[in-house]
Amino acid sequence: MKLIQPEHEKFLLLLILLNILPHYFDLPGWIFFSALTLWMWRAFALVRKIYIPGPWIANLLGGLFALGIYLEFGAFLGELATASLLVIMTVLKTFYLRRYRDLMALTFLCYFLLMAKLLNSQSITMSVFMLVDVILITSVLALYHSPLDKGSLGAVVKRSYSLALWALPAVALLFFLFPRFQVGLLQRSQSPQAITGFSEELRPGHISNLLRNEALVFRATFPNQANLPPLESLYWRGGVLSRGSGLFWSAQPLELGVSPRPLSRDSWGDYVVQEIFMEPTQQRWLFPLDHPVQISQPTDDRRRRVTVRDDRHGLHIYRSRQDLSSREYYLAFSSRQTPSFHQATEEQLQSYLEQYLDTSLFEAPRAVQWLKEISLREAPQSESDWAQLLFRYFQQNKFTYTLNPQPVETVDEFLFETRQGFCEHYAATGASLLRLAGVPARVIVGFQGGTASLLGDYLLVRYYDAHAWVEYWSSASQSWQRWDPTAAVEPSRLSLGASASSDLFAGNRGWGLTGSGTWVGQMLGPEWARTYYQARLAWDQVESSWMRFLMRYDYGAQQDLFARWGFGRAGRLLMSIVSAVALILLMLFVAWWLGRKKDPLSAELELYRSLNKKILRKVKVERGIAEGPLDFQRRLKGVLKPEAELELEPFFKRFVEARYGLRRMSAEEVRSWRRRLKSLDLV
Amino acid sequence: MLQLPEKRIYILPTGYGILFLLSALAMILTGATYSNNLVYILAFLLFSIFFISMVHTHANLVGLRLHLLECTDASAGEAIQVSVQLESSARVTKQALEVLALDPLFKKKVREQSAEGVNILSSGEVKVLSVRLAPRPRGVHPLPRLRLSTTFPLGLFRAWINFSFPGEVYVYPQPQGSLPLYPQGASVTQLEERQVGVNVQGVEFEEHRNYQKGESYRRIDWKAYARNRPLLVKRYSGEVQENYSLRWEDLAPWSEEERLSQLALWIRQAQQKDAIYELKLPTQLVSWGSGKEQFKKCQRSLAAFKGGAAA
Repeated sequence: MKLIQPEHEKFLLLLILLNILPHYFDLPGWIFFSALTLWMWRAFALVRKIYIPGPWIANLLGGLFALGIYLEFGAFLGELATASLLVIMTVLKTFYLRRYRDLMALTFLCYFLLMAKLLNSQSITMSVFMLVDVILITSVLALYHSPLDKGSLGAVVKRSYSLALWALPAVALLFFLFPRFQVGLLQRSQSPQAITGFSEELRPGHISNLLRNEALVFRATFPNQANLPPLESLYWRGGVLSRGSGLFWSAQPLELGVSPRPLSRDSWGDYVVQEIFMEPTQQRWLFPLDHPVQISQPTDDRRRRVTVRDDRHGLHIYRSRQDLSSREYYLAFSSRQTPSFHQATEEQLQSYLEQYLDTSLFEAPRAVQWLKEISLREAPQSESDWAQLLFRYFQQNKFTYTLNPQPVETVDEFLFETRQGFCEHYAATGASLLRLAGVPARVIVGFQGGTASLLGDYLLVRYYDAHAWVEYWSSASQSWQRWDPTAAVEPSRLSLGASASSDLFAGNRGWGLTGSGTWVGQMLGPEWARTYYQARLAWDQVESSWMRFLMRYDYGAQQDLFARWGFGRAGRLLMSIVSAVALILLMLFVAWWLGRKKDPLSAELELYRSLNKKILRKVKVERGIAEGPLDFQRRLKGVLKPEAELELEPFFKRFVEARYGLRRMSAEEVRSWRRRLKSLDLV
Repeated sequence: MLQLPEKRIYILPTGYGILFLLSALAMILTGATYSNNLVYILAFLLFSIFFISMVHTHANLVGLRLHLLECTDASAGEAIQVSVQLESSARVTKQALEVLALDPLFKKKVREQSAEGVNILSSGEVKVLSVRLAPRPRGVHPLPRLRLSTTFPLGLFRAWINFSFPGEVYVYPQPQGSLPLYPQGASVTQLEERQVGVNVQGVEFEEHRNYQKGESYRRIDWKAYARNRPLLVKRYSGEVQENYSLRWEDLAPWSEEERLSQLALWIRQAQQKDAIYELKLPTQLVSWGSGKEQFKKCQRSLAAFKGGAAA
């Protein structure tokens, strides 16, 4: 038993491969492929006799890889660094495979490889994989402790499957009742990988790159509303870019400013609550609906709370403290009202707004000239007049909306020559023109709209919903007003989504398809594209309900649950006791279940009695109270038809042997006799 | 059928079981750190598998019984074999069982290696196993306890039943000495003078008789055996059974154990010659006899010989 058999090695190596492969999606390429190469080397050594390095080379390689991982991540802590170390060390450990101890250690490492993967992905696919994988790892563990016969592999897997199946009720129970706690033992890593996403600047072509990305950014539900709000009203605010130079805008650390008084809760008026499930974007941006008044992580640990409000200068934006390396869940409250600056003094306001009037970096002589002409001709009175004027201009002068515009460098070029562009062109140009006209303006980046789920209970926002718009200062209301010049050019952008309205996806117009969807549309036709789209939404419906379930149940939710059941502070202790007791009850039940077959005599007796009953029913011969089976068989001679008698002969013989001898019937044998006796014709 | 009371089954986690539990705890901590519910689920899954495997390990021993068949006598320095019979009255098939002797003379590691394994024991099946004991010094030793144990199905728990049997292990003295076997009545000094052993051979072949365990191989008719006949021993006319009196007092100048060893050697030689012999010890007399029974009786009395009583 303590010896390593070739089969053990083979299954263990396969198991390790199975647990390394999912890491392909997270780990740096060089680590993953080194691990794979080392694995193949080791696996090939099973088939052919090739050189296997001794422990010294594995140690050396281990040291080198550890150094490499340290250089790559700057630390050994953190999900990715730990996962990398685990993967490499597991593969190197296979070169040490000598004893039972190594076998067990490697099998346990497989559980940890699985866990490291779960830190990065909690999709429903991964959850199913987890269950299957646990069964397989447990099977390999069982294999070491079971006789290795031919064909016993299936039995071993079946046994661990039944083990896992029995474990499930306990898992469910523990999941809800096991007292959750909050620890900050491990540092959360700063991921080196940044997915294409937002940056603190806007330049032509930047957002249109995002528009080809169909990855999900977040899902949102609206707990205090019966239906999803109309898509065109949804502006997910991400960042404020206030340093402008024509088509190029960037975020600027402002030097001084005043803040609008935060709206108190009773002045929020009609507010929208959003429950937002962020995907791991590896960035810090959070996207509440415009105008956010509060973001909270309803139930989470203070130390881990992600959000920081960045509102010193009336930007109304939120950032997380760290890069979002795992799914995060938060509540955002957004007021329909715009916070106003009524309480600021005249001078404060003036110096505040001056920053939004800075045109020192602009080079647009033609635009300045044109603005002067317009101002003389139309004589706009207020900031909103200017906004309407420019809006009309965009509407009436054959501006087009396209993802692949001719490259432009300056506002002048765009305004008077190419006249084709995407939301970023319109937002940047619009904000520039407003500033040149003396209206304080800034560019806002974020997302607009989204895709309604199949059941219409939540919204999916993907990278291709990225959008840029403008805010200008309205002195009448003493607040910032939203102005979206893109709407002038392509109104459907707001209601149907970027992809539906852009020429890039013209073939699938109206279905919101990009990437794989376009491909399906082109290969199989629009009908299939539509089916594909529906199928994806259906899958997301399943996926997101699982995700929401996983995300929502945490420390606070558990406290709430206990409180709802009427347990106060003592609830945690009580629930620990309850879960322990329940676990013991489950074990007792399993013990009873396993021992249920223990009585070796009852099954045979049952068989015999059911045969007695059948004989009594069919031929009206009853077994005497003290009549032994052989006597009874003799008495039956001639009563039954000869074939039946012949059939019954081996049964009587076997029954006597099992009942009075040592050779019991196995469960399978009892089953087969039961079948045979049932189908037997007595007369 | 008479149902004997079940023996008590003990169960404890193995080192790996504890490691497994610690792994699950580490996962719970990780789940708490990252507020990751899927990691929690994985941890709870391992946790539950741990406890349910405990029940399975325990159930794998229910309904098993061990019976002592025999324990062979051995000479000092030789391994001792104990035959036991393992029997299952449970309906479910038992797997991966081990029987080992809780022999204080074996180190733990050696003990585990010398465990006798049974891969599969289906219901009602009976298996005979032979368990090895560590070589012992001359004497009569109590039979060590036997342990039936299993780590099935996952190796996270070990369940065991201890069986103690009333019985003794006879360990004969090591057969060695410088003196040849001599006929009745010679003393050590006389013997040292005549180093030649008695070699009486019969003259004429008389008959075949069946070979009996313990007889000299030289008397077997190998040619007959090659003709597919059973092992036969040739008897010759005029053959006489020699007789020897093996006496403690003849070996007066020697130490106690040396004397016992010499006597053991003589007994073995006499047995090989199919002779009639008696053994005289200060505390005991084994009267004339021959054959296997005599051999065993004499050797056992040597094994049981207590020096203190002789003085």
